[in-house]
Amino acid sequence: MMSAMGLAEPPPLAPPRFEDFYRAQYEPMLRLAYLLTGSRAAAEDLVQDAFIRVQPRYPALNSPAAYLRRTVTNACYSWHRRRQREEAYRPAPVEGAAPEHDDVWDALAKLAPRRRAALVLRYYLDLSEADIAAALGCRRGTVKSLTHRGLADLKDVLEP
Amino acid sequence: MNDDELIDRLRRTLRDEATQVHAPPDGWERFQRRAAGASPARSRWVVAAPVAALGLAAAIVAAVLVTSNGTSTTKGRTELATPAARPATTAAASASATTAAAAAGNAGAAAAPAPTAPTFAPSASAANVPPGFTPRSVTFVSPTEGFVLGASAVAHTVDAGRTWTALPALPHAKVSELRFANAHDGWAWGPELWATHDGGHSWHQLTVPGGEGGVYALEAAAGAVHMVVFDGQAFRVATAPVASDAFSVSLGAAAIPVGAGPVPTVQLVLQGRTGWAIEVDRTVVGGLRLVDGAWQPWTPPCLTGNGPAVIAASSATEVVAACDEGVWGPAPQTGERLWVSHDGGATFTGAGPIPGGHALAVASPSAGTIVAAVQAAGPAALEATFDAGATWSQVSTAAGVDAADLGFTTATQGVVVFRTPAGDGGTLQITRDGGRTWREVAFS
Repeated sequence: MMSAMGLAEPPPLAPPRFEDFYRAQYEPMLRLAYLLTGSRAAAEDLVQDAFIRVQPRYPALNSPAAYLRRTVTNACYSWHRRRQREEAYRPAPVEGAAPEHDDVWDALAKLAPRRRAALVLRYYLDLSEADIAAALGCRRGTVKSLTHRGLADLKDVLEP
Repeated sequence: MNDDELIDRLRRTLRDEATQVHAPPDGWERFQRRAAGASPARSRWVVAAPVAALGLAAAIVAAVLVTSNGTSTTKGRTELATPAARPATTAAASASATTAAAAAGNAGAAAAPAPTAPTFAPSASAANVPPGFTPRSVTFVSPTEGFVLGASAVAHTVDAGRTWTALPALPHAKVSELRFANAHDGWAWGPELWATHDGGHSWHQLTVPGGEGGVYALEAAAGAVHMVVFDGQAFRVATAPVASDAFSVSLGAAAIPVGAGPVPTVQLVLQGRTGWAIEVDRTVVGGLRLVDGAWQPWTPPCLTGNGPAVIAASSATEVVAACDEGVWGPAPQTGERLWVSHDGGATFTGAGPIPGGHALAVASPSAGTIVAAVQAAGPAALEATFDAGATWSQVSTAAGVDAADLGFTTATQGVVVFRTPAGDGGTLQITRDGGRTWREVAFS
């Protein structure tokens, strides 16, 4: 097609192939899932599952990255719920054998999953309240509350 | 702690934790296998929904099974409290995993990778660390994962030093130091330079960029590896993205002139995209500072102290220096003194004497906490202060007259190698309480 200036118009930008999308998003999502779960093994499982869920919808998505982020966040939240159910039946962990992290990381693990997610999305990904609300599937006011309460919880754990 | 401080700590923790996670290079292939193996995603989830209650019941039944045999089989996702040694083959590099941004600031001569001739890639199977393993250099890439260079092997841990496996040694390489930027990208140097991008399973030799006389110092942070080299006239810094061997050498004023002494040494300290290089040749000769990814001239501490100095940093702004003052100048020799900076090394103020002899190395996990490896006539020792130099106490001693790689991975976990100059002895010590107590690490 020729424009009024007689120049050829550039073809519309094609969305990246799913493989390219996967390669670009895999590691960021792996890191996000790790921060949300604290488990590398779970993060890898959950992110792979999230990509499997996203793949069939990928061509029709306006913002596949945001959709994927929401899918991963939800999957991590579900993982926490599943884990809580299983927790009651799990043998006590072996004392003194856990890997060491700094006290903020340890404190983060004690937070409610949605508050933890709000803090990670806000202070690791630097998402806006609107984007966090989209990722968590809640209102912006809820994001404010989750973030505020998450920080308060974190402070309580660090400075009891 | 106010909210700003809490948020700052939270951001740092999240960033530090996240950067330990890297995508395996075969992620796409794994995805394809997983996608092919799974029933179509839609049907799997659609089927799951109507039978949610059944699924919950199944989960509970599975969980009950956990208690019966002590091992969770639930979807294979339950993690053991003790991290299992990761199979070597799962450690994997990803060139895209690392940010090359840190290297971008240096307009430099591309001294191109000289990934060169010799390569070494023996069997990658995990093995026990050989008896008599003598540590020479240590590097931790996370609180749990670390590597130790020895004459007979490279020891590797994924559980904070509780257990070790042996990676292949570099039998023909002339190297004495080891650094890894992450689980995959590492360098062994001194005087030769070797690199690995698969977690130490294979190594290849690089030509030292710009250089005569080998590598004087090497550190990696924020996705970039920096090494100090000598170009025949001055010391310069060569930088590359960690997953690459393409080093660029800093040009122009970013150089340290040669000193008057016989044996120049250079120390490199990095904190993210900030860093410091200090050259000592009997006395402090000069320095460079890395500001937002670019090296520039820097007036180091103790420049007029007539003696050597070692430095450390706990953040981009908190820098400390241990200066052995008056060693080469007119009397009196005033001894080892601590200097601290709260502005990234722009200005330093004195913070009193450091006991125990000459400072071999210094480290600071947080502002006000400083550990110095010192040595007088006898064995080397660690002296520590937890009140910014007001008081000091000896926290460890060890046979050996040199201390290498004293540093902290987190605010609480740190390491040091005490070694003999001849290389026939050495011990690795680790602290898990911010430097208050140290214990020797066993490799068997």
